[in-house]
Amino acid sequence: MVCEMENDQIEDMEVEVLSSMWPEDIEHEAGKQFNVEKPRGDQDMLEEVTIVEEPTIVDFQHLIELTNYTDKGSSQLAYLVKHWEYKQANAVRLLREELDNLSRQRQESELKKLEILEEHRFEEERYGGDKRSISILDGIYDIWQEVPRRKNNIVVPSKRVEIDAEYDTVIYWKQRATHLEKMLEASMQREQLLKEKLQESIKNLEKQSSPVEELSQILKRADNFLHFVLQTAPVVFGHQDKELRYRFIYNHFPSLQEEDILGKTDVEIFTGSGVKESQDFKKEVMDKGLPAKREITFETELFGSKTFLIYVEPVFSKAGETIGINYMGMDITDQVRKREKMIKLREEIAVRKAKETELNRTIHITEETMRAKQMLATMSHEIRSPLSGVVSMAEILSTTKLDREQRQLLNVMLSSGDLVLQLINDILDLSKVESGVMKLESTKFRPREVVKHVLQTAAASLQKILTLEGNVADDVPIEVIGDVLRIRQILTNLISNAIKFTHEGKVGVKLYVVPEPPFAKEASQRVSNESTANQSTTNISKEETCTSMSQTSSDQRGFHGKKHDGSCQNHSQSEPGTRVRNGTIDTSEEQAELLETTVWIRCDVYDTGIGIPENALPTLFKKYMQVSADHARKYGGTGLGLAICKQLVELMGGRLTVSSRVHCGSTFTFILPYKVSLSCDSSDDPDDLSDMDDHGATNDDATASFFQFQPRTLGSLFSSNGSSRTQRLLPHNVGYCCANSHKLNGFSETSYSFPTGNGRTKEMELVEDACSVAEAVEISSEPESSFSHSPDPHNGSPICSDKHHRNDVSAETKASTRDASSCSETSRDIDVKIKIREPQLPPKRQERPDNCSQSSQEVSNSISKPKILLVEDNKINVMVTQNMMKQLGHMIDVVNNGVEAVRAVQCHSYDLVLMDVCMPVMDGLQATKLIRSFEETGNWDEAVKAGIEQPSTFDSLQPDRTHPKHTPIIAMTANALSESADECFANGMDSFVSKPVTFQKLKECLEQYLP
Amino acid sequence: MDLVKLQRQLVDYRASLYHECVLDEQFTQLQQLQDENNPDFVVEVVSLFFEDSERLLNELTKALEQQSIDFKRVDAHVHQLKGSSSSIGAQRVQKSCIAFRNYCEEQNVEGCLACLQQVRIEYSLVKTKLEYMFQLEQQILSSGGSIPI
Repeated sequence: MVCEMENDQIEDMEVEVLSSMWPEDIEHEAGKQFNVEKPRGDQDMLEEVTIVEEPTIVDFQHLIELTNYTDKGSSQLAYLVKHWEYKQANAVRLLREELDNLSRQRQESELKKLEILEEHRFEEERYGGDKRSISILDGIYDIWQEVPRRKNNIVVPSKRVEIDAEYDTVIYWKQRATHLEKMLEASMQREQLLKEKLQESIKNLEKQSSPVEELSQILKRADNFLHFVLQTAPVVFGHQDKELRYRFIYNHFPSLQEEDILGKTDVEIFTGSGVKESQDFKKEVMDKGLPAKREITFETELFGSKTFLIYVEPVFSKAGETIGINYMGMDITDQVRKREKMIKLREEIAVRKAKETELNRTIHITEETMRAKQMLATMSHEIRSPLSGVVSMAEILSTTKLDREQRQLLNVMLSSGDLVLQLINDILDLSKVESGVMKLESTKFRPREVVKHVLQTAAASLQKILTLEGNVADDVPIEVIGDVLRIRQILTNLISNAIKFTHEGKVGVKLYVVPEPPFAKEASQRVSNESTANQSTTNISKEETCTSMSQTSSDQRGFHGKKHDGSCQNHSQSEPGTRVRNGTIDTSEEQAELLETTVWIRCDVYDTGIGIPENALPTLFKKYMQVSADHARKYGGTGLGLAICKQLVELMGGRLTVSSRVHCGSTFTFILPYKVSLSCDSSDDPDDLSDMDDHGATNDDATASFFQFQPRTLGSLFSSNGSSRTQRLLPHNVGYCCANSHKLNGFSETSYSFPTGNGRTKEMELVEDACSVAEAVEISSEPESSFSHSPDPHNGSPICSDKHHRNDVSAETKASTRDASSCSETSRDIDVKIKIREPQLPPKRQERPDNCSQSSQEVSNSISKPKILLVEDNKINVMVTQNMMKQLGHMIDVVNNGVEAVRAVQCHSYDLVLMDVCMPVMDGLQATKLIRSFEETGNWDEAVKAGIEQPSTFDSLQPDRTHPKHTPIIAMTANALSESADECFANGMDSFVSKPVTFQKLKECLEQYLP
Repeated sequence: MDLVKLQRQLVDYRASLYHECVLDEQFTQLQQLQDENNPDFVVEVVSLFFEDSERLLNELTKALEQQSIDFKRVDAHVHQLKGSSSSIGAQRVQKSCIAFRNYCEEQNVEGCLACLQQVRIEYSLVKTKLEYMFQLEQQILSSGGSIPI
């Protein structure tokens, strides 16, 4: 019975509604929304029933059971039944009422019939009675129902017409009686008909009131509604049994076939995070028997990462035990995402707000600080001006006549004033650096010069018996770019500090190139490196390795070994140089600019002073800090010096560090980056390497790598004392065996690398060095002697006579004894050196000035300096250029026109010729041409043709010179327009400088063309 | 008291020379060449310049007075003057020499004479100014002060 009812219902659904309600496209999809199987129209009902009974597909049996067993189902059914019963009862009541009506009517009509019959009888009895009865009958007739009456109306008149007999006769009455009987019969018949109709309608009603129809209608409506609502809702709902196997599932966007779902549990269907959680949650709900909601995030292969809000309610049987759960899930991934985003945003906003407040506070503080600092700077500045007035007044006062007491007072005043001035200057500097006002300048300068000058200055005011020494490694470029003033300031500060805390021994500066330190690498990684820069760095490092190699080998102290190393070094060094030089000639200046690179130079300032206790190191660079109050009292000072140094160094992108041992000394080290323009860093032509004459040209102030200043009390101020003499004499001689200065440097570096190192070894080394040098001179004396013999006093050429004159002045008069004398001078010099290394030797005083005398210097110059010829007719220009060259450490020969220039070149081999272009007698272009012609052909035929006689000494000069070298000739042009650069190059000049010549131009020129 | 004043005066005066373009940085180069070893270098060079310039100016005057002017000679003299003035940084003399040479090339006697006049004026200007400056320096030195840089 139940089954049939189901079937009926389903059939109805299929035919009438469902097909239209379910969208076509979804019907063809893998799964179905409503996973209750929808039977096909042509399927047999019985088949349907069998399918239903299969548990894997739609479980109708279970659904029915569900409806039967579960509370909800039964109550729903009960409600439907009640409703039906009520309707049924109502219908029955209505029918009964109708029946009652009908039977009452029948009774009435039967009563009437009886009455009529009685009346009739009465009439029959009183046959012929009074006539009034008709009127009563008429009245009774009026009580009859309309329809029969109407019928009566029709019938009666006709019947009346039919009767048509004599009134009140027997026939009339008989006729009337039969007539009435017929009427009664018809009425009876009608009644019968009505009864039948009633019966029929009752029957009909009974048939209609079956609940199936009603229920299916209701269900259909509910289904329609559900479909309407759930059509596109992102919800999934289903029922799971006690074992949490799906028995029913609705999913609008199914991704699985229903057979993959039904009968399985969550865990069996999905894998991934969240599945287990939902399963557990369902179990929990089932155990507790209370519905619950939860948000669960799934991370499954099936549908990716999704968050569902899951509602689970337990389903109870009629007996009250849990038989499964209903579950409903809604995809709230987007909402969750949005929510999370919102949370994140809110968090960020909060953080940002916090930061903002923090920043505001910082800004406020910074502003305050800046203002304070600026005020300090302004104040310091304001104070400084009047104070310097006071101090300078005091200074002027000190030049006047004063008695002793006054002088003492004035001295105190001056020293105090100086201290205050220093303090204010320091404060000003510091606040400048700190407030970012300090601007760094970048200028070209020579580190060697800076070291020399700083030491010189320090030596000048030295009031102790201390040795000051400077040591610049060869790999340090001759010229670098940086803020020379600040670097000087740092150096001066460190050195004066070192002097202050050193009572005996020495204070020194050591400069050498280091690879880019790690702290800078970090910084520079941010800045993109130009490839050219990289390239040039490689060059430098190449040089570096070579230098270090020679240093190591110099430890062997074997002369020959050194010699080889030296030549190797020279060679390797010349390689980059050549390249660069070619570059400058071939390419434009811009490209030369590109060759700029950064070199890191480390500067150690060491002393043999009191040292710094370890616990004082951390505060050393702090402002107003001194090692201790004792020190402050004893040594004075503002305590700002090191702080300023540190800040300056850091401002320039470097680092200042210190290492120290108490009673042994301290070493302050700062590493700074400098720009180097590589075009200056060139050396000789590689062709010239074979030519021995070229290697004596590296020593002047620009390239000198070692300076030493003896205690002031023991001698005059610095001039070319012991060590620089080593430069002047030894290197030159060694130069004939190549790589002089390097070797020497190798020595000085090894010997001075330890500030506390003992002096003895140093001396030994020097002696050794000198000896080997002397040896070298002997070995290589040949070319020199022939060369130094060359000056011909009778030639008449101005340089020649000049030279001769100089030779006269010098201690060594005879050129022929030059070898021996230079050698002896060397050894004598070594003696001197050894002596002056012992500070308190009295004879030194006499020795030193002698050694430093102008004459010996000139001798050494004539031997050791690169020979430079200036060809210039203008006296003033000559004077200026000569003096500049002098300052650059070169003595030069001067001639006044082209002819003289050619003659000079005939007599001497020059390392460099500076040639004015526009000159009387013979211009520079012509002279250059002649010189070049000689260099090519080895004879002066061209010059002879031009009217310049060959000097008589020519033959003695030339025989061993099979291949005259290429002399660099630099044109000096008044302006590049009329005396064009092209013209200069065309006539064989190497380069040109425009007039007026300046230090800078000369320096560059020398650096480029002198090795 | 005087010394400070003098020193300040010197500094101001020197600055004014640069400012008026009487001198240029080449003169600074000269000053840099002066040191303890060579204390009078600037004065020496400048004196040489005065001497030489006066000679050249006289030569020029003579040459331009000639009936037939040897412009090559004139040009050579002007070239000399130009060279030496640029060497000591007497900027204005040097500049007027440039114009002079142009007229020389054109063989423009009028122009040359005008330029000679101009050069003479500029020369005497720089001479006066430099001499005054040296005087100041001398005063400072003699009153025991040092010359501010």
